[in-house]
Amino acid sequence: MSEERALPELLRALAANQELVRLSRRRFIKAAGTVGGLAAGGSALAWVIEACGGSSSSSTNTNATLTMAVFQEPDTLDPSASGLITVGAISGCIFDHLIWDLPGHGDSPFYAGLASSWEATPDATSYTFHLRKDVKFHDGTPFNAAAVKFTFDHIVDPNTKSKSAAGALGPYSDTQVVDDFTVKVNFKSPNAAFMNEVATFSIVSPTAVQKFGADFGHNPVGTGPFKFKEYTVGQHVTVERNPDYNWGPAPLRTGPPQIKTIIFRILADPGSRFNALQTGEIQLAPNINPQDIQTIKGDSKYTVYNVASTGMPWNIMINATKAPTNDPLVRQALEFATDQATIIKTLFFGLYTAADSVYTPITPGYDPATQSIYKYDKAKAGQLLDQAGWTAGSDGMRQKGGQKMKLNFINISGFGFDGISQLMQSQFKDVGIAVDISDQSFPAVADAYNRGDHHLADFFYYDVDPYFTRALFGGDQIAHGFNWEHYDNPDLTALIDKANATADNAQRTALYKQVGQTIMQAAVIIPIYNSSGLFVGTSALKGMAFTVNAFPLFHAASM
Amino acid sequence: MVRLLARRVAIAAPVLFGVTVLVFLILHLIPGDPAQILLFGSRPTPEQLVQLRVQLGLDQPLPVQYLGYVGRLVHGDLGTSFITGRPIAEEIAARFPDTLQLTLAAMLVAVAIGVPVGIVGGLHPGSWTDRLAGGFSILGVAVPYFWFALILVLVFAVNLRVLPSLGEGEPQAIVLPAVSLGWGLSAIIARLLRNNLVEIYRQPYMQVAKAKGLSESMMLYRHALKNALIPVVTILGLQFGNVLSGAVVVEVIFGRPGIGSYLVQAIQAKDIPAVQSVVLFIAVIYLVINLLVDVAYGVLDPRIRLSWTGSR
Repeated sequence: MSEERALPELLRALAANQELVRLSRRRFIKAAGTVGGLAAGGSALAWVIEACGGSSSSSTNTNATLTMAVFQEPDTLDPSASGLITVGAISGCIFDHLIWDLPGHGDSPFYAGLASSWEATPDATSYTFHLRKDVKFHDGTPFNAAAVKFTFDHIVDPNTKSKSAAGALGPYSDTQVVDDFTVKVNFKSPNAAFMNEVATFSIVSPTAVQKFGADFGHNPVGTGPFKFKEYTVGQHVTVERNPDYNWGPAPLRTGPPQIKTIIFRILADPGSRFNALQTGEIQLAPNINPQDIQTIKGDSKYTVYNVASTGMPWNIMINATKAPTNDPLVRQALEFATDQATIIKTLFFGLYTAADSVYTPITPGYDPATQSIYKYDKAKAGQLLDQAGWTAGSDGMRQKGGQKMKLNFINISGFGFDGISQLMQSQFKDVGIAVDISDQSFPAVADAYNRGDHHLADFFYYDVDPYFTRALFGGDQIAHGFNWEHYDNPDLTALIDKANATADNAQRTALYKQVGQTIMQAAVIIPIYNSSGLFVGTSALKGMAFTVNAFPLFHAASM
Repeated sequence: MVRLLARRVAIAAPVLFGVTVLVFLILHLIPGDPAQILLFGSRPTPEQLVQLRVQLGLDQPLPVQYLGYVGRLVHGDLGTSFITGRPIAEEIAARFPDTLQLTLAAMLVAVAIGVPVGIVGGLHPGSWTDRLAGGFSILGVAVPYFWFALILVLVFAVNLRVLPSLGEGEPQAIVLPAVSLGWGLSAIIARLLRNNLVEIYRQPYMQVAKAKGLSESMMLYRHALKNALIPVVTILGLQFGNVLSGAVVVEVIFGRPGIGSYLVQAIQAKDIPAVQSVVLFIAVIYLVINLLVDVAYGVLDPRIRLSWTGSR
C-alpha cells in the first residue's frame, strides 16, 4: 500500500490491492481481473460530517464544474452489467433507485425514490412497489411499471453479462406489471436480502437499451440528477445536471443538483490523485494513501471523508478442518495473539478502526457484544496453547509430541494483506507459533483455499446485506464457494437461511446477530480492521454524502 | 532498397506467427478462468459459468480456438473485448495516438538533450564540461523515470504551479511526461555519442582533416558527427521498445490514456482477445521501427547503402 510508485507496485496496484480490487457494486468482488475498487454499492447513506469547511458558506455557484478522480477505467456504464466500483460512483449520478436506504434518518431506514411506497410478503418471496407518476428518463421515455420490469429482466438477461447486479438480485423469478404504476417482483425462494439490495439497482430507460443494444454501456440513459454527456475512453466520463430532476431522496435534495457538470477523470495512481488535488486540477479523489492523508491532517484547504462501509471487515480466515487449527483452542489462541491496534497504527496510521466481528459496525446484524469476545492478550493465548497441549520448547516455540507447530499462511498477493500477514507472523511468533507465508495471486489462490492447503487465508467482502455470510460460511460452499474456513456447521447454515426467509427487519437483524456470535465463538475468522472509504476533497466542496459502501452522492453537493 | 524491404517483410511473417502462438498459449495456460473472473462476486451458478464459456468460445479445444483467432486476424478482425464487449480495434485506435504522441515527444526530448550534451563531452574529453556531461549521464541512467516523474510533478506542478500535474488536456501537459520518459534515454544517447566522438577524433582521417585546415565545426558536422550518430540511431530504435514500456508507467502517473495502461488492465482481467491483439500490435510496431532503423542506416552511411545494392 505504501510504495505504489515503484513499477511492480504500480502494476500490482493496477492488479488488485484495495486500489484495484475489483468490486461489484454490491457484493464483494475482487478479482485480479478488471481493476476494481474500494467499496461496493448500496445506497444507504452515511452522512459525513464535514471536517473543516470554511466558515460562512459563500453563495452557491450554479455553473460549477466538479472534477472527481476515479481510479479505474469503467468496463461499461450500464449499471446492470458492470462489475466495477467506479461505475457505481458514475451511475449513481445518471440513475435512480426504487427506494433509498438512509440509516440514521428516523425510524424507517428506507426512503421513497422512484417508488413512493412498497410492501413485502412476510415470507420475503414477493415485493410490491407503487411508483411515482411524474418521472421521465433523460431521453423523454416515461418512467412506469414496464420500465421497472424491463430493468430486472435486463439484469438477468444472459446477453447483459451482468457481473454484479444479477448476483445481488438472487433467486429472481419475474416481475409482474400490476398496473401502469404498480409492480410486483417475485422470487423463486425467500429473499429478504432484496429489501437492502433493491436500493442498489438502477432503473434504466427501456427505449435507450433497445436503441443502443450493447452500446448502451457507452450511452447510458436513466432518470438520475445528472445526464450522461460523454465518455472518452482512458480519459474521462462527463455528466451534466438534469434540470427536470424533481424526485431525489428527501433527506438529500429532491430538486435539480446545484453542480452543473461533473467530470470523472480516470487516474489509476493514488499519488497522482493526491498531486492533482493539491494543484487544484481535481476537487475530489477516492482512495488516497493513508500516509498522504497524514500530511494534510488539519489543513483547512481539504476535507477528509472517512466513510464507514457495510460488509465483512478485512480478516484472516482460519481453516477449521486442518490440524492443528482444527482445534478450537488453537484458533482461540490465534485470536488472542492478534494485536489489531498495532497493525492499524503501523500500516494505516490509525485511519481504520479495529474489527471484532464478521460484520463491520454499520452492517445490519452487528452486535457490540462481539467486542469483548477476544481482546489482544498474549498470556491468554499462551494459556490456551498450553491447554491444547502445545507447550513452549527451549527456543520458545510451541510443540506437541515432538512436532513443532507451523502454520501455513497463504496470502493473496497484492490484495492489501501483504503487510498484515507479515505483522501477524511476528505477533504469532511472540506466542511461539511459527508461520510460513506464501503468496498466490487471485483468482488462482481460490483453488488452494477451496482445497484447504492453508491454515490461514485472507479476505474481505462488501455487501449491503448480511446474507453474504451464506456464501462465506455455508456448509455447501467449501469445495467451490468462499467458505475458506472449511467450517461446516449445519445449524449455522440453517440459521442464515432462516434469516433470509424473514421479511421482518427486527427479527431478521436479531437472527443475523446470532449468526455473527456463532461465527466469532467458533473462532474461524480473525477480524482485523473495518474497511472504510477514504476520500479527500477540497474544502470548497460542500454537501457531499456517501452510500454505506462509500459511493459518493452529488444530489446536494455544491461549490 | 525494395529488396531489403521485401526481405524484412518476409522475416516479419514468421515472427508475427510466433508472437500469436506464444501469446495465445501463455494466456490459455496460466491459471484462472476468464468466465470465473468475469462473474466473480455475482455468485454464478455452474450453469451460468458454462454458458459464459460457450459465449466466449472458451469451451472449444485450444487448437480450434487458435485457428479461429488466426482466421479472424487474417480477415482483419482483432476480436471483441471480454470486458467491454467492444471491438478491440476500436479500443486500440482510441488509445494508440496518445501513446505514440508521448513516445515520440519523449524521443524528441532525448535527442534534443542527449545530442548536444554528448557533443559537449566528446569535443573536449577530460575537461570540466565533459565531466559535467558525464555526471548528467550517470544521473540520467541511475534515476528511475517513474521516480523522476514524481519529482518533476512535485516541483513544477505542486510547488511552482507552472505546469499541470496531469499529462493530458492542455498542450503544455505533454511536457512533464515527455521529459520524465525521455530523460533516461537522453543520458544514454549523450554517453554513447560522447564516446563515439572521442574515438572518431583519434582516427587518422580526422587528423588528416585537421591537417587540411578544416574548421572545428566542419570537422564535427561533415565527418565526426555523421559516423558517431549511426550507433545512436541503433540505440534509438532499440530503446523505442523501452520507451514504449516506460510509457505504461508514465501514462499511469500522469493519468494519460494509452495502450500501455490498457494492456495492463487487460492482462489483469484475463481479457484474452484484448491482450492478444495489443501484444500483436506492439510486435508490429517493433518490426516497423526496426525496419525504419535499417533504412536510416542507409541514409546516414553510404557504405551500408552500397552493401544493400551489392547484394542485389
